[in-house]
Amino acid sequence: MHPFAFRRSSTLLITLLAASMAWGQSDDSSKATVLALQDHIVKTVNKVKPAYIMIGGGSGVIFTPDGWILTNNHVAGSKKEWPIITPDRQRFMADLIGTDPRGDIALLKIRDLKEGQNVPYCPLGDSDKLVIGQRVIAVGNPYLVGMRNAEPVVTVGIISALHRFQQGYSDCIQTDAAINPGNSGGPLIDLQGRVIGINGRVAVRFGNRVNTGVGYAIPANQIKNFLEVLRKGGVVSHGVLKGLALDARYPQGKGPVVARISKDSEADLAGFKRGDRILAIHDYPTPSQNRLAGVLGTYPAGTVVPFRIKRGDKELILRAKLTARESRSETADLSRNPNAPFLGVEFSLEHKGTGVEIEKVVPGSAAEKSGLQAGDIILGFDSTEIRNAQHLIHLIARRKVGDKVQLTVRRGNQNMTLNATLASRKSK
Amino acid sequence: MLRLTLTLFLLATYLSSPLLGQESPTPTPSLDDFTHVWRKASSKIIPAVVQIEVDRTAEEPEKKEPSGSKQIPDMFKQLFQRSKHPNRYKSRPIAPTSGVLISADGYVITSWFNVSGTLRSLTVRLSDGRSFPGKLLGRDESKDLALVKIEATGLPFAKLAKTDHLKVGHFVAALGRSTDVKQHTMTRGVVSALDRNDGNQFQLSARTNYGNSGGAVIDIEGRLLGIVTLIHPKHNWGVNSGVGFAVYTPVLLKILPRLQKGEIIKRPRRPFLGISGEATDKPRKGIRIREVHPNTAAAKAGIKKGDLLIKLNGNRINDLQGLVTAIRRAGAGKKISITILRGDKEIPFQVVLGSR
Repeated sequence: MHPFAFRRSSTLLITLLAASMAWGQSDDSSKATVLALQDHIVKTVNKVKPAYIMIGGGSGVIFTPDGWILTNNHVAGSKKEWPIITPDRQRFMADLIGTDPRGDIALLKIRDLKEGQNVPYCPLGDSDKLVIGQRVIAVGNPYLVGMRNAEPVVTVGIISALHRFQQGYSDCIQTDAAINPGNSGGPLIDLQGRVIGINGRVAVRFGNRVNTGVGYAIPANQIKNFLEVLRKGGVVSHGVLKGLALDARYPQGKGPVVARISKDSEADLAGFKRGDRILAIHDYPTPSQNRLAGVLGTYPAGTVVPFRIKRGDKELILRAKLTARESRSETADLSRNPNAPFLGVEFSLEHKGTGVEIEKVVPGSAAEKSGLQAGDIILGFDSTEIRNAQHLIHLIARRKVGDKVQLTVRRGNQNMTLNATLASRKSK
Repeated sequence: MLRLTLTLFLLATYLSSPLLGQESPTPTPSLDDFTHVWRKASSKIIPAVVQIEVDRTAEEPEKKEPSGSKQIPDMFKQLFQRSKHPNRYKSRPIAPTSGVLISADGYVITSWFNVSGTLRSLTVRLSDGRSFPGKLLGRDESKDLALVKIEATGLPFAKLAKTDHLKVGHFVAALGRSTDVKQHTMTRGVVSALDRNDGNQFQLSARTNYGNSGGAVIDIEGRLLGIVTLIHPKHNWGVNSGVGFAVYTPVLLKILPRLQKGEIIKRPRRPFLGISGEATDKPRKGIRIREVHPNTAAAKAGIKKGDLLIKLNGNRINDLQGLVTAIRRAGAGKKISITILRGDKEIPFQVVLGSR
């Protein structure tokens, strides 16, 4: 045969082979693959369910064999101890160890486990390895439908987006697995049976707290950054890089540019200079100010973080220490009168713009009972637009204990109205 | 040359596959695989999924649901507040719903909600466009099922399958008939939970709503597992959250003869004690009573707010689920003995359970 003809027929053969592979398999093999995935999901659910717990009005997950529990701060941050229920209806008490209000994470430990006693658990996975389109499983208790018999609810979906800055979660996972009120604090699990996120918020419309296909989870790797400080106990602070002002005008997508460095600040000590372009933190590219803030939001105060910058035509790594976000108590300016009306917040001093950003919510306070959370921005107090913290303090001071007030609040890019009943500082 | 090209081609295919993103191989059926499987699974049942249209002159008067445990945390009370656009979502749209033919001679099962209220007429339309007047037979309100009869023979119907094999995580699809009667609708999801509504229903994440209420829930083998019932939360009608319920087909099979006779099966009266409280273990494990409802069995027996309920019929009570189970086991109208810790004294009470 002519060499050219041979080559053509082999090309034809390869094309046909490719085509048959591309055009999928017969019905039977389709069913086999679907059945195999179904089977895998059922097995993963069975493996993971015993590590799920119901706590307060939401969910949690045991992630170590010696009984450490993760949930959202807005589920469990308000009390020092909680009864928890497992799907086989065993009750335990769990102690609140550490909280991260801005990151909406609470760490608890099961009390009174005997020496060497192990509990079922679901380990944390690597959220940086997640791929959009990957299947995930959410376990929770939406609308408390599982309360009666402690049987949790399983929904399946995909990873819709990663590294999103939404509703105060600075680096969150977006999923279409159905998540509703009651799922909060519960695990988002990959098909290897590892917790890759903690479900916490949903995007809603018309004030209906109903899933719309957009749910947000705090990624496991952010939680891992905080575990050490959370284990030490108390309320942990997120980090900021002090002394770095960014240029407001810069082309999108190339990285924020340093406009000004405050002398002797942490940014100064790290070696930042005016004109530096910030390219990345660790391996996370930071093409915009928003993304830079998003990555920074995943570290606790005290972390030393490597920034990759471009100076002229050189690339350098600068290591900078993050310090605690500054906040100021609501009562800082007030008289020591314990019967004065009290909302129960600490204001962030890092906030720029109108309104007041809440850094902390005092447990048991009117603010907490109203549903206010760290990271929220109070824009309005009844019908008055809030200019700054001083303004809000004055408005509260002019009211009485017991007054019902309406707060207009922004959480991420959603506006909502919360109702608070002002209490005195002493009351619970 | 051929081998080299082939190797390069296969390498290229593998490198571009999604498998590379994950470290251990999980089965990855393609969208085409799912399409094939669901098309095959639904093909037998689709002709049996019918459209139900009613001419309603009045809704059922709204019954006050017996309150469940009052321990819903405050943050959830916000959920039950009226939405900002109350009229948009709360009223039932005037549109057809769905049902399933379960016999060749015209028995159609649907959700009770679809046919509740005062009806001037009820019409059943089949996938081939034929239309029949339907007669409402029996119903079971607490399970949200109703049976309708049309006069015809040789109709396509769905067989009621067993559901013992069902597991959380199984793929399911909800089938309904759309306003265009020749088209069916399909939503897909998984079994979310197995034991809801006293074991009468399972929970699914396939989106269910007004239109496919009364429709069929099937697995990938095409077996009829259940009938779509109430969506949740009810106060947000028109918006499905991914929390939906279906009545198990074996449950339907059990009450079918009664429905065929036209029986209106009411919610069985449940034994009722009349307290609300929380589980605690201070100073001991028990239920701390937050409220004793007036004119109930507990009130009549002299149980007071603040009491700690520690035993029922000699058994320790550690949580609310345990209390509910013990009360159910005893039964409405039965006498039970309750041990209360008041202060530091253990006081026995004899209580005759009421019902509601």
